[in-house]
Parts: sequence; structure tokens; C-alpha cells
Amino acid sequence: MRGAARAAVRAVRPGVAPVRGAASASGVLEGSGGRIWDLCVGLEVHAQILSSSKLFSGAPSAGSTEAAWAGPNDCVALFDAALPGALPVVNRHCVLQAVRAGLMLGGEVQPVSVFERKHYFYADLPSGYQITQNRMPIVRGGQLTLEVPTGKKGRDFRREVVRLDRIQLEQDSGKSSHTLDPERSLVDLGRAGVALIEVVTFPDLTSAESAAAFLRKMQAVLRHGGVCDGNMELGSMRCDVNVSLTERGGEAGERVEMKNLASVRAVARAVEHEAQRQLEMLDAAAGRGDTVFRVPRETRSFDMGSGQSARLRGKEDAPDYRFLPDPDLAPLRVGKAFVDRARATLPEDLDALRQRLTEAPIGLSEYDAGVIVGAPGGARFFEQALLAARSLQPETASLGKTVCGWLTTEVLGRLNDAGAALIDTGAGSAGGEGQVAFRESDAGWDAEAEAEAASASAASPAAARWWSDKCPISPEQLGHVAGLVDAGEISGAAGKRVVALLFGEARRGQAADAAEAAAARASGVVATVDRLGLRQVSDDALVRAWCEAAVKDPSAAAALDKLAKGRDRAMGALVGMAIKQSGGKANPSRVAQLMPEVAAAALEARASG
Amino acid sequence: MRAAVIARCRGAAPLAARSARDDGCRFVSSLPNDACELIATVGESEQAAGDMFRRFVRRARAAEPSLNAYVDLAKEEEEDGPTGPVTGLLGGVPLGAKASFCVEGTVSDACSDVLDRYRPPYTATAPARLLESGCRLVGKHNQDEFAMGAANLYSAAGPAVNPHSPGLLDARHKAILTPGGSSGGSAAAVAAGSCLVALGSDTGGSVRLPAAYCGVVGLKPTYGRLSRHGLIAFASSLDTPGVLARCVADAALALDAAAGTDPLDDTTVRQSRIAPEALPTRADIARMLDSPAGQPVSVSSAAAAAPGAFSPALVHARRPTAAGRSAAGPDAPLPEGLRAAIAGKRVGILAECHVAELPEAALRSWQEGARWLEDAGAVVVPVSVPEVRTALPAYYVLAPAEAASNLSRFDGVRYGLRAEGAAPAEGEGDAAGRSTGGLERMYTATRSEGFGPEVQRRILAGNFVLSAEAKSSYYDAAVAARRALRLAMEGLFGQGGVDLVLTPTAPDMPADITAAVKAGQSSGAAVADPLAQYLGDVMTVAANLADLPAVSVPVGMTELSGSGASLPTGLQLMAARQDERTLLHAAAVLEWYAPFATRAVWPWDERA
Repeated sequence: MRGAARAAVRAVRPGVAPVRGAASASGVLEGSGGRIWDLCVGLEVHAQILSSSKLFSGAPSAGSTEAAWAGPNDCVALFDAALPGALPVVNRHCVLQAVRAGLMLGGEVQPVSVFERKHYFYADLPSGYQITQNRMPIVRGGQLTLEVPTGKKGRDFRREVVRLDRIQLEQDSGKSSHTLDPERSLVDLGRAGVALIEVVTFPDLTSAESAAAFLRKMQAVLRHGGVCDGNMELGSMRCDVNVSLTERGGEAGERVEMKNLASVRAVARAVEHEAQRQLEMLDAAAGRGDTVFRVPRETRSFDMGSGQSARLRGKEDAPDYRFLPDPDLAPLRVGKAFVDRARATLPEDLDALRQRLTEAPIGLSEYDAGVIVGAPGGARFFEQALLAARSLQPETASLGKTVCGWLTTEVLGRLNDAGAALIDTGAGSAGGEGQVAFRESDAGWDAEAEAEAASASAASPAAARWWSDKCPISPEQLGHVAGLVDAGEISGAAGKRVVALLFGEARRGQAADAAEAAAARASGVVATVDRLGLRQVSDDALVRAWCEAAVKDPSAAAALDKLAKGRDRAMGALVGMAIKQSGGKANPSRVAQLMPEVAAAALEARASG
Repeated sequence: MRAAVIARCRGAAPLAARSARDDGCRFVSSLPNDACELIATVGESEQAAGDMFRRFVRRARAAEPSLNAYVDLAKEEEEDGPTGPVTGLLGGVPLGAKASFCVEGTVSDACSDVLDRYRPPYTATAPARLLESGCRLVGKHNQDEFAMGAANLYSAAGPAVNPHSPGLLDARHKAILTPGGSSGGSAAAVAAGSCLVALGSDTGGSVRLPAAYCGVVGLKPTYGRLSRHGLIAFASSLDTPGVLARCVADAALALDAAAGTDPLDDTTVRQSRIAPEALPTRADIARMLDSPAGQPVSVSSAAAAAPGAFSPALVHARRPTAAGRSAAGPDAPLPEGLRAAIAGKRVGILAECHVAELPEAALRSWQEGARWLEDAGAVVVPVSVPEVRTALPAYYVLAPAEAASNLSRFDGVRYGLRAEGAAPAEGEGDAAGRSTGGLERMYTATRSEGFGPEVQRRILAGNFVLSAEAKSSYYDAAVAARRALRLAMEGLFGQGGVDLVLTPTAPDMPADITAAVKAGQSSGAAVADPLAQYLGDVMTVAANLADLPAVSVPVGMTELSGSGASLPTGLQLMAARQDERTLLHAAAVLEWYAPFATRAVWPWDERA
């Protein structure tokens, strides 16, 4: 049924290669009667800011260490519970994070922004209003460049640029838990008042894939800057989607909003589903002869399990939020010096970093560079590992790729399997923390920004461990392994053995030896390689001797026969035998280089003998 | 509880004969008349401070059946107090606070049933600072519910009563009068001397109007001078904690002790707290009271030169009281310090306050006040600020809008009243299938039961003016009117303009509420015409809309429409933002000349 419905949607946009599978991927739909519809998608991404305390109170924020240990309603200040008389005070660090996000996304930080109250009644909204920004957000404009996968394996992609409308700073709500008792719900205010940024795009996205790519890219950028851990499954990043269909040459279609989507896949599925639903409505209307039919503007919920959406409310019962500038909060003034300081705390731009990784001397493929920068902490880990690898040997053209390969398969692969990441989410790699009360002059903000930047730079020595405890291997250790492999000093298998040892894993048939793992971690990769005798032999005389021993061995006869008949692939077997002769110590590439010569000599000897 | 109030009020008999003096000093008590006197009397004796406090509590308890000024009152025996010498500037001063101020463990319910005698887990900044400087809390004061009202009739605790009510003081009269509102209990308590300093809140005149009706000093400082942290909000951009006191010097002392930036209130002005060493010591205050006004007194050098403090000069220039201790006689000349502070200042007489309804007597005292300031060397000029005419309508749009927003937190979920409402109807729930029917029923029942009629009226009005269809023609228009008023006031107080503006505080005399009191009415059923009450704020709202400091000073007794009984009258001064110095000096000048210098009204005192 679903497949049939999908088949009705054919991709016809000229110049854009149709994509297998999801038919709506190109964003152009063909309806009945040959009418062409463009899919327009806009997103509102809500991301919890990494900070130790909430936006307007001193209570521990979600993702802080305190909150991780807290039970329901433990992290609640007077203001968060909206006790009579309690007032909000802006957390300067949250403002800093929003400004940093704005700068990373190429937006314009506004010198004056205003907090407003958005009113509605719900049990997990204690004050009866959410403090948000409406008419004057903290950041306007900006854009995000996406890599939208086009190939089957996702190794090919096209770039799209999505314009951002604004970034606003606002409060999260609490959480309601509905119990079996229909007359009783439980409310946890632990999340109430946690700082969010809401990033609003223009409806520039043209497909479900673009929407998914946008979210992945937004996750990568926010994680890269330490603004948000981007964990959609745990709710630290959430998304509302606006979908509309506009007939080619016609006026913009009415948009339908899908609320609170909790994963990248859910966003993609919701866009597909909604595009299809709207197309069916439009086709059905056309079938009735109604060609001016407009999709009713409404808000819907999308259920990932059933793949179905349900109407929440329409235009006529849309709530009137009665926005009011919050009289408890003076307009937020962000001076130039504050912005400059925020800029100074930013890491290298993600796209620039990715570009640099693909260029000489590192030379990664676009795909590999994408994987590295897409993993939180990946680029930093990679660059530190590469530095360590370079310290062991002169730079080779392959070194970057080798390090990347070892990082992605041996480290990220393992962590991924364990459901872990290089960076523990929530620890907050972002600078210092501060509550601020003074907003009369920018001087106060700027002076404090300066002090904070100074303390942040002093507090982050490069040598300190910054990656997750779940990753026992350090960038230096990984770099040394990759460097030794790249230089042919150890075999790939030996390298894997060292990595497994550092991860404390058991070898086949043996128990894990914690003492050995600890010794390996303490003594370092090079000493471990030497202690275990893993270093390869590349010396020509020794390698030649092993090759000769191999071809002389009776077991080589069959391979030599094949070789004599011109079946060159038998050379591989001989190389393997020579390595076996060496007890695994011979450098395979040296063996491969010398073996043809030795084998030719042996065949010649056989022919003449 | 309300029935008890009725019974007490009916039984309240006039207790003493009038004093021969005409200045309002009707009864003589051995208790200090004001905080300055108390400080000088107590010295550093903890014993004396404790005894004194118990006597004030006893007085408050004795007056309570007639005045209904308190919603929570300390017990005499409870007060043991700290041991060791009393050193805090306000050590031993009996303090009261409006029920809108959160004070840990005390009833802080803004006199609303929705808060159901709520006792908060924390103390607001303003009372906390006064308690830190040594004040002792006598109790929490009655008020209009959420500070919405001008007569203290809209209170869950029933109406408070003006201690100057002829019906209480004189057997020949029957009238029981309103103390004004919304800080009605505070003004009544200070006037009755059951506390000497009180914290009120002033959103549209709620400190100044009852101060004028009850004959005490009512100070509304610049918006942001005193922290709102812990003050239950009415309209946040207008709410200003204020001080009610028995003389200008007391108000200045309390302001000095409580003012300064509060990291818990984003809207406090950036101004550090006044260091204790910059204030006069208790010994300084005693010396100043004992020396003839105008004579130099040696005070600690820091206090003499204190840049931010208001009180040192004012304590020294304090008007001597008839009953209290002072070396100066009642006819002493204006102290040089006050004359120097006021000489050459320009005082505007605001044409827009010269309304037709103004009683003849109020007009006379206004003219008299202007003459006193002229005598002190000020230059009096007529001024006009047409924008003031739109102040009252703008106020009655902005204040309800913010109130509707602020009061949305009272939903029965976390504290206060929770009414369950009627049984659920079949098939209730939101579109997502969640059952919200129960929650909404609870909200509706709680808010319908908990809020009184005036509060409900303002919530409805506020939500209307913020609604999509009405916002631009009401809320946005009111914001524009407020901005225009602020600009006009800035112009008025700017270069070449005036330093002060003098107006009457109230447009009328306090209303007779005998019927309401007898019926034990609260919650406003007794108020026939709510609009008429809104007019009570006509003189005062401009200062709130423009964030200006303003003060009401009692200047005399006015005869109540041919009855032979007379009531206090107040004059209001306004000054430029942050210029409490000029404001308080001018207030002290009025106080010095006025025949009514906040005299005691305490027929309820123990007879020695």
C-alpha cells in the first residue's frame, strides 16, 4: 500500500538526478493531470544549550553533571517552579553560547534583542508562559551548507545551501508523564527553564533527504562548537517541520507543521509522508474539478511507529499566544566586544576544516573528511593522531588516509558498537560559566567576556585528556600505530593487535590480560611493539632468504606450477608462504617486491634442472 | 474570620478624648513616635529593644479588632530576639510588610484566596535587607488582592480600616473610612503606630494614596532602586517596592538600608548598596536628635560625606515632634541644611492635576505647599505635560496586560488553592488523545474560585488587550502613550526644566466604608462602581509610567464635608529618575512647615 502510494510520486526535476528509493527526494512531485509541485520544507530546530545552569536560574541545566545524577524535580530553582515573587536573571553563558552558534552559522548577532512571554496553560509550563524571543531575536540570518547524499552508499553527495531566518534564545518546558490514572499526571520541572536555541530556516529545503542532511549538519556544527550535544534520541535536540507544496508557476502553498520529531529518520519520514498526503489531497481536489484547492493550514503530530500523522489543530483553533515583552527582563544588549570574544572561542569553521582535510598534505576523500568532522571530537582526535604519526616518520602521501582509516574502523567503529562516542555528551566542552545580573552597560558584559576568555584559554592545556573514558586509546597512541603501519614498520595485523590490547580486549582463545593492557598504555605503542616483537623486517638480505626458503619448500611446488602456466595470482600464495617462513616478521610489501625475482629464479632453476 | 472582623468593628468604641492640640496629636504614648526616636531611645540595649518590640506587638494586637491591618501578626512571647548589643542601623525598629512580600514562613498571599494563606520558603530582598539591618517583623499587612484596588476593599482578609476614621476616635461620629489601597493595611498600621516602618508596593499609587489617606509618609522610589525579588508581581514594569514611615527621615533610613543592585532582579538599577560605614551610627542618630536642628553635630566622618546615602542629612533636619525627644522647639526655623538643599530648585505645579473634582481644601493645601517650598528658597513655576492626560487610560491597559500574564502562574498545580471542579465529561481530551479535560477543569475551577472579582476583571481585560485582534489598538497604543509620557517627563526634568513637581496625592477624601465593614464584605461586592476607584490613581500613575521617584507627605488635616471631623491630606512630590536626594529634601521641607507632622493615632495603647 505504502509502496504503491510512493510509486505515484515521480521525480521529474530537470537537472537533478533522480534518486533511487525515496521518490520525493528531489523535491519535485508530479500530481494527476501532469501538474508539477515543488516541495518546500522549513525546519525549526530546538537545541539545548550546554551550560551548567539554566537560562534564567541557577539550577543545574540538563546535561550538566549535577542533572545527570538528579531525580525528578531535583534541579528546580524558585524561578523554575514559578514561585510567587521569583524573577528571572539571564545566564550570561547561555547568551554566549547562542552568540557562538550564530557566528558559526554565519548569522548577524543583534546588538539588542528582546525576551517575550508566550502564553499558554499547561501543567509543565509553571509560569503559564514560555520566555522566548519573538520580534527581536538574538541572531538574524545565516546559512548552512549541506551535503545531501545522492549515491546508494552515501559516498556521493550534492551540496545545498539553506538560508536561516533567525536564531532565538528561549526556555525549555518541563515534562509531563501521563499515568494510568486518567485524572492524574506527574510533572518533572527538571527540564523547565533549560536554555534552548531555536534555529529557524527559510523553506529552502526541497526534500526529505535535504531535511535529514540539514539536521545531521546542524548536529555536527553544534557539537563541533560545543553548543549542544545534538542528541535527538535523548531530546537535547528536537525538530518541528513545515511542509508545503507549491505548484510550478503558482503561488506558495499553505504549510502544515509537524511537531516534535525526535530523530533524523523521523524528520525524513514525516516530510515524505506529509508531501504524499498533501499531494493526494490536491489530486483528489483536482479530481473533483477543484483546481484552486488549498491544503488547510494546520499543525499535525507524526507517529514514527505507524508512519501516520494526526491533526493537532487547525488555523481556526490556533492558540493566541498573546506575546508580551517580558517586563522582568531588560532588553538584552550584546556589544561588539562581547561578540569578538565569543568569536575568539570558536573552533575552526567546520566546512573549512573539512576542506582542509581533503587537501594536501592530508588528502582525505570528501567522504572520509565528512565522517571525521561528523563525529563529535573526531577532527580533533584525528589531527592529534596525525601529529603523533608524523613525529615517528617523514610525511608520506598516504599518512593522512592511513590515520583516518585507523580512526574510523578501529576507534569510531568500536565506540559506535558500544553505543559510545569520542566525547561524552553533556560534559560540556564549552568554556566557563557565569550568571550575570548587570546589563546597564555593555562595558560590564565585555569586561566579563574578556575575563572569561582568558580563563577559558588558561584552563585548556592541549595535553589534557578531553575525550571520553569509553575510549581508552589516546590520539597519540592511535597515531603511533597508524604511523608504524604506514611506514611498514609493523603489519596491519600487528597494528590491530596493539589497538585491541589498548582497548583491553581478549585475543582469540585467551583471556583479556588487564595487566598487559595497562602496561601497553603506560609504556606506549612503540615500546609495546618492540616488547611483543611485532616490528617487521624489511632488510633485503633477510627478506630474500625467507623468499628463497619459501620457494624451496615442497609445499610451494603447486604454486610454482601454476605460475609456470602463467597464472600470476599464484604469486600471492608464495608471498604468504615467505611471510610464514619469517614467522610473520617479514614486511609484506618487501616480500611482494622480491618474490617475483626469487620465484622466476626458482622456475628457471627447475627448467634447467 | 470575616464575621469576627465585623463584630470587632461594631464593638470598637472611641477610647479617648481628643487632645487640645490641633496638629493631629490626639493621644500621648510613652512609645517612640518614629524609628529615629526608637533608635535613640533603645541605644544598644538588647533588653530595651526586646521590651519595645513586645509593646509594639501588643499595640498591634489591641488595634487589630478595629483596623484589620494585619493578615499575620507576631506573638509577643515569640520574640526573644538576638542576644548581644543592638548595632544594626535599624536595630529594634518594628517593621511590617505588605502581604505581597514573601517573608519565609509568614503569610505571603497577596490577600488572595488563590494563594490560600501561602507561606513561602524564602524571603524577598527588600524585607531581608531591612531585617538584616536590625528591623523586627511585627507582621504582614492587609492589602487589596494582588495590589489591585485603591480602597483595600478587595481583600481575602476583609477590608482594612483607616485609623483616622471619625467613627473610631470620637463618639460623635459614625463614619468608618477606607485607609486607601492597595497598601491599606501598611498605611493603617504605620498611622496607628503598630509598626514604625512598613514595606508597601506601588504600581499606580498604592503606597502614596493610602499614605495620604492615613497621614503618613509614602515613598515610591525610582523603578529599580528597590529589588522586586520576592514581591508577588502585579504589573512588573510598574511595580515598585515602597516605604511607608512616620517621617521623611525614617523613610530615608529604610531606603538607605534596602536599596542597591540585587543580582536576583534583572531590573534593579546599577548602584551598589550603601556601605554601613557610610550611614550614621545609632549613636549619631541619638546625638542628632538631641541637638537643635541646624546646629552642627559631629557624626562619623564617612556618614557626613556619604555620597549615596540619603538619610544622614535628613535625620539631622528631622522635624521635632511634640511628644518625642528633641532639643528644638516647635517654632524653630527651617534647618540650614534643608534650605541649602532646596534653594534655587525649580518646582513645577502641574496644570493637568488641577482637575475639576479636586476639593477646595485639597487645592488650598496644594497652594500652601507651594508657598512653603518658595519660603525655603525654591522657585515655583506652572508647568503642563499634556501627556499626563493619557497616563490613566494607558495605565489601565498596561497594568492589566502584565497582570494577566503574571497571574497565569496561579493554576493550582504547585501551590495555593486547588479546586477540582466538576466531574469529567465523556470524551474529553486533546487532539493527540491525551486527557487534558481534567487539567483544564482544575485550572478553571481554581482560578474562578481563587481570584476575586476585581482580579478577574483585570485578567480578562489584560488578556483582551493582548489578544491578536485588540493588541494594536490597545496594548501597542498604551505602550506608545507611555513612551510619549516618559519622553515628556524627561523633557520636563531635563535641562532648563524643573527639579520637582508638586501635586495633590489624592483627588478626593477617603470613602466611607461603614457598610462594607459592617457587612464584613471583602472581594469588592461592596464596591458599587469600580471605575470610580480607578480615578483614585489619577495623580499618581504618571510617576509609575515614567519610572520617577515620588513621595506623599502629610501636610494637614482637612475637614470631612461639614461633619466636624477632619482627615489627613497629602501632597505629592515627583523628581527626576534617580534623584531621590532632591525629592526627600523637598519632602522634609514640607514636613517641617506642615502643621501635621505625622502624629500618633493610638487610642489602643495600654493605659499606664
